[in-house]
Amino acid sequence: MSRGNARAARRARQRRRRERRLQRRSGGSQALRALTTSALALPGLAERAAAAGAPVDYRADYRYARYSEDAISRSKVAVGGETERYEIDIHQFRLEAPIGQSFDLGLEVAHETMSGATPWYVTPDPNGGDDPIQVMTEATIDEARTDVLLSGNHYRDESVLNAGLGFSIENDYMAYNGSLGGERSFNEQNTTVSGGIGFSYDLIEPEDTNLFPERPDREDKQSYSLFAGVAQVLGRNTQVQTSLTYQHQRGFLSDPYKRAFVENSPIPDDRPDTRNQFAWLTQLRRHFRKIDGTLHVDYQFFFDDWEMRSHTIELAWYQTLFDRFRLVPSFRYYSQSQADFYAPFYVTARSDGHAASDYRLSPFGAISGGIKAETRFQTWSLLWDVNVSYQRYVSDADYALESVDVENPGLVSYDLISAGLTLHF
Amino acid sequence: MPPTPHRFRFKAMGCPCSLQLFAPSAREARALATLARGEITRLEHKYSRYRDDSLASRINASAGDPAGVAIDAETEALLDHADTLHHESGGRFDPTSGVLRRAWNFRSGRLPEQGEIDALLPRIGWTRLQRAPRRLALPVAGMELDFGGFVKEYAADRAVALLQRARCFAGLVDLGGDLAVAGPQPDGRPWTVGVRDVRQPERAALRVELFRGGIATSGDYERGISVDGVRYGHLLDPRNGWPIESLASATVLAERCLIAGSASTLALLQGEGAVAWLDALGLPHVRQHRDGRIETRLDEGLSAPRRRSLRPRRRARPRRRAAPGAQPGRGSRRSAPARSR
Repeated sequence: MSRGNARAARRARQRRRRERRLQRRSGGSQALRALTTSALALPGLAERAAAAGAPVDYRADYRYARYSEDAISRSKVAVGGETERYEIDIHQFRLEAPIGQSFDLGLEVAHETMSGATPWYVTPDPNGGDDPIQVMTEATIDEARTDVLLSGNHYRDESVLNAGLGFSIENDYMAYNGSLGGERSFNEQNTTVSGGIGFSYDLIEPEDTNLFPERPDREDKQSYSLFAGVAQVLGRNTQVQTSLTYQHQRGFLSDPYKRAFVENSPIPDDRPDTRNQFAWLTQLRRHFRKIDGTLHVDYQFFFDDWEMRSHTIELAWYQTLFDRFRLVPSFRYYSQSQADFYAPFYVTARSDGHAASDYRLSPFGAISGGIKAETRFQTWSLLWDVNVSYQRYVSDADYALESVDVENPGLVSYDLISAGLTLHF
Repeated sequence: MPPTPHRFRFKAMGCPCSLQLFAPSAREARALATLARGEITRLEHKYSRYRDDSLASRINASAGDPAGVAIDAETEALLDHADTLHHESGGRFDPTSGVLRRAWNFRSGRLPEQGEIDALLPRIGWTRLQRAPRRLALPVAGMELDFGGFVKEYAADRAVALLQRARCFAGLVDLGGDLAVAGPQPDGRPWTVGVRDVRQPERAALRVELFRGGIATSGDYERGISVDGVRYGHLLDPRNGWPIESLASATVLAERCLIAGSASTLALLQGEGAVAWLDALGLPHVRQHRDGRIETRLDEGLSAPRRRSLRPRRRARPRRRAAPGAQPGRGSRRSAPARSR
């Protein structure tokens, strides 16, 4: 086919696509289709207003969240052990500012304070029962972490480029991260492809190495991630998005504060020094105009070369009430299989030396449900968004898709409440 | 930032025009206004038949010359659109019918002789235009092509497209009552647009809300000629040269001002069939009858805002959630737990 023909064919295809889309939107009136098709053939008229354009206002956010884990059942812990688990208070500030017509900058600072005991290692029941026993660490008070993230977006005709730089600091931990990404819309902004890369470097300097001489003094790890996705508008009320994320980690991936019970003695947690993870996420959004509600359905499949697999399905309903209120009930189901080297405890050591009994590597399922309420109001020339939310998360080996022989006694359940305020000015 | 838009008023295309633009500063608003006005002026200079140096005048001056004149892609697309309107109106929409004004002098209050009309009809006929790629010829000397029936609406859409390209999504372009908006106001509220009352043109009969796209009105409510109690209006049928009796006005909302304007024009040209044609078309609209009755059909789409939740903000990097431990991989950063003593 000659180049001219190819161009004509492409134009015809584009025209037909435009026509089909407008047909859906216009209820199929022949006359309207004809008018629309020829009007959109005019230069510049097929471009659609981009809802995701550069913001024109300044935004300031403050959010407070309190994360509190349920106390561990006394029957699951070693006699005399701590039962109170983690409580975290999280304060997040964010400021977003437009810079000229096509840039914006965002600065986010988060500060967290944590206290409580965490699972340390798991032993067989000393009384010979089937259920293993969790040994907890002692409770700590007032550990703190601060996160700072600087990000920027550059908006062009049909595309957005973004970059971010962040660091995170704790008394025994430091992490730097950076990301670069972009997205581009095609097909009259009905299709958006996006991609990005990320990098982080984490440095850990464990405490109390004098008490626990086998703890390393200083270790680090690196993470590299790649991300690619495509979003497609399907008619006026529906959008789907699917994305793939790959992450490669290398370095010290063990947890210096955890142990595993191997051949009757607790040895330091030991995990492979590389990990390759894949996540495939698909999201569906459907708006129901008559009742002014939007359904969100998300599904994620995750797997890695530690042989873990997980499935997450999340449903949320965004209901607008009286124009200015929104109520968002949500539900999430999660199930994972265990890492190949995981065991609650080891009767004999593995030949590769790995040992980890962290509940996060164990097989389990989790159910969570939540509700969020948000409203928007205007005073003087300021626009305010206020929201509050509550979430309950419960994990249990019985909730897993596959049957689990031995439940890790350290599985967590928690409540999360949060309140946020956004000011546009 | 003040919650009111920057306003600019000017005259273009023979009517009072205005821009309303939200921008961080007056300086940026002025820059945006210059951009929009520049585009409107460009189109006025290109397609006005009142300017000797316009393309429209050159086309009309070439009438009778079989070689015709060279035209660009934009003009071709406008002619294609006019062709669609001609076809969809069953021949009632005809950009060559302007010459009928020579017979119909509405100020004189007298009806033209049939002979005067008949003398003009050979110079009318959209289908007689000779088109070749990038060329147009008017075959008969004295033939005239008038872009006035759609260029104003196109200019409003073009101005909005330029504003959007300059990342202005809260702006309104009003060209003598034909409007296009670049998006809703910054707080998400729609623009409200008055629909002129045909009996008291200085008043708004009602106000309609516009979130996106455009709105345009076609009306035939000026005085016309009355003879023996019969009104002869300004809306002329190019097929016989006589007026069409139709609605007093039709105001249509559509995804583009040009679509709205084309729809309102074609509706009126349907004469008695205007109401049925509008109902079948399926666009939100307001129609005013000659007896002053106003009918609104505004519940058909377009007025509903696009929900923000439909377009989640995408991030290249998944945001670190506050809740730890829920998923492997995400919680691993959290695995530095309390120290043991």
